[in-house]
Amino acid sequence: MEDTRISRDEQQRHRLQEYIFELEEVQDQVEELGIAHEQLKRSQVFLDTVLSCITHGLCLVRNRTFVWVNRMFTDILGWEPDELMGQSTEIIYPDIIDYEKMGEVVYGNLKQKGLIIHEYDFLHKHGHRVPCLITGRALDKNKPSKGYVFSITDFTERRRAQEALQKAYDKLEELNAELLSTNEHLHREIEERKAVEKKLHDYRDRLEGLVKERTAALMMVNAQLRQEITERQRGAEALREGERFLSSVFASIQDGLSILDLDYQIVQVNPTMEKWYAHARPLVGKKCYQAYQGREHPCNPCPARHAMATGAPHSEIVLKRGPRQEVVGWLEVHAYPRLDKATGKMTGVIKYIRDITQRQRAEEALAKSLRELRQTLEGTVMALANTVEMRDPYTAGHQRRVAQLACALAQEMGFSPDQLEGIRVMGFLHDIGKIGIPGEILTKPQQLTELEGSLLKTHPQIGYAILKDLEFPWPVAQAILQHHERLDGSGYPSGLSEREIISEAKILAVADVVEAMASFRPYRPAVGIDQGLEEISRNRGTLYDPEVVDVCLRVFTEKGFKFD
Amino acid sequence: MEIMKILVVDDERSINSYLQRKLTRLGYTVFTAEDGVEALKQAFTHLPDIILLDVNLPKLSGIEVLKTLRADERTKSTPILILSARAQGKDIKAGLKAGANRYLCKPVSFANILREIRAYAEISSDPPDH
Repeated sequence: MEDTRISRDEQQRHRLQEYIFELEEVQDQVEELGIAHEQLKRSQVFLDTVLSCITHGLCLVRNRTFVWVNRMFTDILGWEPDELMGQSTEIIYPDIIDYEKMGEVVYGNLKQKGLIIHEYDFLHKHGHRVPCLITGRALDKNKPSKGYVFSITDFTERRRAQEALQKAYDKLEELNAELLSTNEHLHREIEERKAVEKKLHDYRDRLEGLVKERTAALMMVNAQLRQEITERQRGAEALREGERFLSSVFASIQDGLSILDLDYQIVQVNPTMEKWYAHARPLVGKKCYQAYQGREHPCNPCPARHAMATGAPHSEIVLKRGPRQEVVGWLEVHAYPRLDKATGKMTGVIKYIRDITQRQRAEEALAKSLRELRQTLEGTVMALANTVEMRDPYTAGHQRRVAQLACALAQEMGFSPDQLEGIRVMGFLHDIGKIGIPGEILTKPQQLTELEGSLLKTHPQIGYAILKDLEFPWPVAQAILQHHERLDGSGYPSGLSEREIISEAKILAVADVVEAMASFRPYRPAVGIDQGLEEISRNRGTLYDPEVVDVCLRVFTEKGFKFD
Repeated sequence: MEIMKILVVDDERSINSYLQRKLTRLGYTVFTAEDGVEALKQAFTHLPDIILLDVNLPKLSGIEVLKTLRADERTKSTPILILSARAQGKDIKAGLKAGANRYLCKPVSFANILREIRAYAEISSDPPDH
């Protein structure tokens, strides 16, 4: 009995032991998972930070489609991240041929070496090319289907800033070094000669018989010396050659070049600069702000100062000044840091200066001739307008007043100055078609017969026919054709409805009606502005555009509009 | 310091493997045996620093194993901890009398087992006095 109980107790203890160990094992696993999760979170935060600080463009590409891009990548190529993700990478190539060719290079190399480094000019969103260094590798070497990570770096600045001038300077420095070493060599030889001479001096005093030897030795040294002198001359010639090369580079550039040291002191200038600033010659040795701007202190802003402070090229537009510091034009100044070839330290700034005065003047001249053209147009419009009013003295001034009111309405509606000009022309010419209507109808003091009325109603088409071939920068002919159309389709000549009528015609319609009711007509006396406004209010939305009507009421009641 | 060697003896394989896994991860070298004969063989081959011993064992009981180990010069002072489901007073007495240093009744948590092992590890790492 007791044995059974004991053995049951034992069994339970056994089973419990196993449970405990199992439980502990599960606990361990949960703990490990927690740690792993924590680590994952930490590395994610780290990755996010790194990716946002990084100055390289990064992207993940799968099947030649963008899966992910960082901010810098989109900045370099001008796109928004949303515009690129999911897009084919073809978008950053100028054409399908380049796209396929780069594809072969990049993916061929990736397959072979697992890594590519390549230079390529990618296509910017705005159409220009951006020279880039691209590096890339597979996300998972064993599974290319997971995609590839590419990094791009913008090379534009680097390329532009360094190439030409650095090359010229390298050449000069090389020749300088050569001459220096030749000089040292020569110096050593002179010392040696002195030593030999001293020796010979001793020999002369003591050993008469060695005279011949001494002479020979002297001759030998002299020969060497001559040779060295020749070499030195050759070195000097090479240096002159280098200087000629540099000065011809300098002279051939029609833009100004000015090299400054770190103290803003002018070290060298090209002939173009000498010519521009002849009054301040000699330029070399002066501070740039004294020579070019006639100031006692550095300018602010100053592209050279900016380039020195940041070590990066910088550009600005500055005033060009003459002998009496008067402004004579505009200059575009590009400042590039000049680096010592050996140490990489900045030794000064190269200023590249372009005279943009001509360009600015050309732009001004263009604007002037445009103004003149506008005046000619104005004259033509007035002449046309006068023609119709000559035949119809009763409506004399009608077109001018309609133009005045239509302009006020359009301005209130937020039209641009250019559009306002168009509206004015339309107002002045809206009844030009009346040229084709018999004078008796125009001046008839009674109500018109049906036939006469329908004849009068052809004036928009006649106006259209007159003006349609004139190249106005505004839809003048169309607006005049439509100025008797009404929103509900009850107008003439085409019975257009609201959406088919252009907004210029809608404005003309309101201005025309209000002005007409305010003025005297051969068949009735003037009705008055209040009745005109009542007419358009009553038919707001049916005949007349509601916005134009509202604006018209506001112009009269709040803005105090009055016909001239 | 040399790595501690521990011999774990239990006829339940899951208990052996659990203890082996946990102790190995803590840096101990662990041997296991599932019966009394195997336990003696392992003990004399590896001369462990500590032995965890079950009482209910096939072939040779834990008490017999204990007596044999205590009779041998090489293992007479090796710390031996009994880990048994037999929790009766007389069982405990018999175990301690046969030469066990501690008698732990199942169920017992790993933390407790580890505490005992560490306590004896300190003793056995002292310089031997024979």
